[in-house]
This record gives sequence, structure tokens and C-alpha cells, in this order.
Amino acid sequence: MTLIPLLSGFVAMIAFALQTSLYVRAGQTALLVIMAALSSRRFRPVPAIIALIGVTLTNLFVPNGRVLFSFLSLRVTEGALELGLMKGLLLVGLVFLSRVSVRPTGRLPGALGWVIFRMFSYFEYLSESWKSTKGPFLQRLDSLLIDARSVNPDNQSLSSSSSEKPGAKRSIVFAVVVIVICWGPYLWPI
Amino acid sequence: MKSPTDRLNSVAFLGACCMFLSLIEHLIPKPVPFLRIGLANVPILIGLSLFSAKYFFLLVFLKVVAHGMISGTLFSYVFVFSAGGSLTSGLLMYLCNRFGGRRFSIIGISVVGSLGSTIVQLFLATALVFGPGARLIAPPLLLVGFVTGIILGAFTLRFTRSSQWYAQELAGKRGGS
Repeated sequence: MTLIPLLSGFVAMIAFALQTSLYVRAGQTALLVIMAALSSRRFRPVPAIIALIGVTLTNLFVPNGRVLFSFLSLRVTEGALELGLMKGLLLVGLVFLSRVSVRPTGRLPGALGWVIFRMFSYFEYLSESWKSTKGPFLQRLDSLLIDARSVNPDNQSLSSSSSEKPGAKRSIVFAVVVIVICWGPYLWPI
Repeated sequence: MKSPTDRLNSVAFLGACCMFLSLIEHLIPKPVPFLRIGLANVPILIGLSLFSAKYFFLLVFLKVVAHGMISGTLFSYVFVFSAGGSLTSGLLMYLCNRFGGRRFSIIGISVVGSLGSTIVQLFLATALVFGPGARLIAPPLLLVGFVTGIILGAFTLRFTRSSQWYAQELAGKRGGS
């Protein structure tokens, strides 16, 4: 069940990356931002806005097409602005698509899934135990590493991740909406 | 003697350390967005002396995937940059450690890995996002990569010299080899 958001994110990513219309991509990005804000994961729009502005500005240094206006010595061209926005929106949209789709509690099958599961269990232990350590940074880290050896990850709280969680239905709804947002413009052209 | 399961457990453990150090770095304020120390590379540097190639590259893979899952960037360009940089730096650091002998200290290995990662990320940035304009950010990124490589190498050297945990892991490896 926990794999559904991950798979839907992968399917949606393909459609989102192949989108050629700037306006559709802008709309999809806006909807993905709203989805990320609605999901329970942390929502930080400022780095995304900085990334969007940064990518767009960098692309303006390579003139392409009709000159729209000049700012200081920089000539802002239509093609460069569109390309910059397309790339910036792709970058930002994919980050928010990931935030909606990827959940660290999903337990993958096989030996690799076992290793990843153990890693998240140890991570949980390290995060929770850090506050209880005292002394210089290296000493705290060392004592924590020694203590963590005695931890059996199978007893940690993540071991319950394979069971059904209350948010499972919600994550399926999110998965469906994400697919509709990204594939919708192909099925119902605007 | 360590079994394959014990080895996998140690890899998972160092992978968790990568995630944990990423979290700590996240809490440190950054004056500019691209100025990353890369604390999560410290367990990778430690893993060089603890694991064979198979387990070492599994650790590098785990660091990349875990970071993508924790930061939620698994399906984004950020993940491509992270994967490209980490895999390249992992390969370069492994080659330096395996074939460089005494010519490379842990600080030298760290600098090679950091610069390799930065160069690959600049190539990816040029090809995927910024275009030729990426050359504008190359000098500060390379300088930051060089400085953080030295800092991380020195940090790792200090940790490996004082850590009881590392001494025990190393003894376990020697007992198993």
C-alpha cells in the first residue's frame, strides 16, 4: 500500500517532464504546490521561489528571440524568459511532486528493502537519542554510535510501517490527484 | 568474524549516520543556498576504510536514496545532481584510497571527492537547467568544494583518531578479513 504514492509519483513525473506548454506547466506546478501544502509533510515554499527566480535569471544571460525590455545592461528576450521559466517550473514542480509522493516509511521488498528499512530505523534512533547526549560534538557522536549498536531495529517503531496506517486512504487519494494533474492536460487538452 | 548480514547492518547504520548528519547540517544557517558543508559525506569517508567495494558503493547508493526520500527530492533534478555528484565522488575516493596508497591522506581523498562531485554537478547543471550560464557559478562552487573537502577530511581524520566506535569497527573488519 505504501508503494502506491511512490509509483504514482513516478508515473506523474513522466507526464510532467514531457509537458511543452509553459502555461500548463505553470498551472500544474501551482496545483502541486497546493498538494504539498495540504499533505502533512513540511512545506517550505521560499527555497523553491528562490530556485525558480535563480534558474530563470541565469537563462536570461543567453539571448533568444525578441527583446522584451532591457534592465541595466541585460536584454531580456522572450525565448530566454520562456526557456528559463520552463526549466525553473520543471525544477520546482518536480521537487513538490516528490514531496507529495515520497514517504520515508514505505517498506520496499527484498534485501535492499531490508537494508533501507534498517537504515530508517537507526536514523530514528539517532534522531531521538541525540538530545540526551552531552559533551563535545565528536564525543556525543561517538557515544551515540556505540549505544546504537545495542539497538535491535526490528523493535523500533518503524517496524510497524508494514501495517496499514490511518493515512493510507488519504495517500491513495493524493496519488490519484497527482496523476490527474500531470496526465490530465494530455487527456483533456486545454 | 563478521557475516554478510553484519556487514549489511553496518552499511545500514552508516547510511543512517548520513541521514542524521544531513539533518544536523540542515539546522545550521547558510548565508547562501549553495554553500553546503556536506557533513553526510563523513560516513562515506569512514566507510572507505571499513568496507569492500560492494558494501562501500551500497553505502553511497543508500546515502543518495535516503537523502532523496528524506528531503522529498527523489523525482527531481536535485536528486539527479545529488546522485551524479555522490556516485562520482564515491568512485574517485574509492580509487584514490585503493590505488593511491600513502600518496593520499584522508584530507586529500576528501578534496578529490568534493571537487569531483562539484564538477559533475556543474556539467549536469549546464546540460539540464542553467545552460552555458552555469559557468558564472563555477568559480565560487569549486572554491566552496575545495574548502569543504579540506574541512570534512580534517573532521573525519579527527573523528577516526578519537572514536572508540571506529576503533571497534576497524578491529571487527580486521578480525573478519
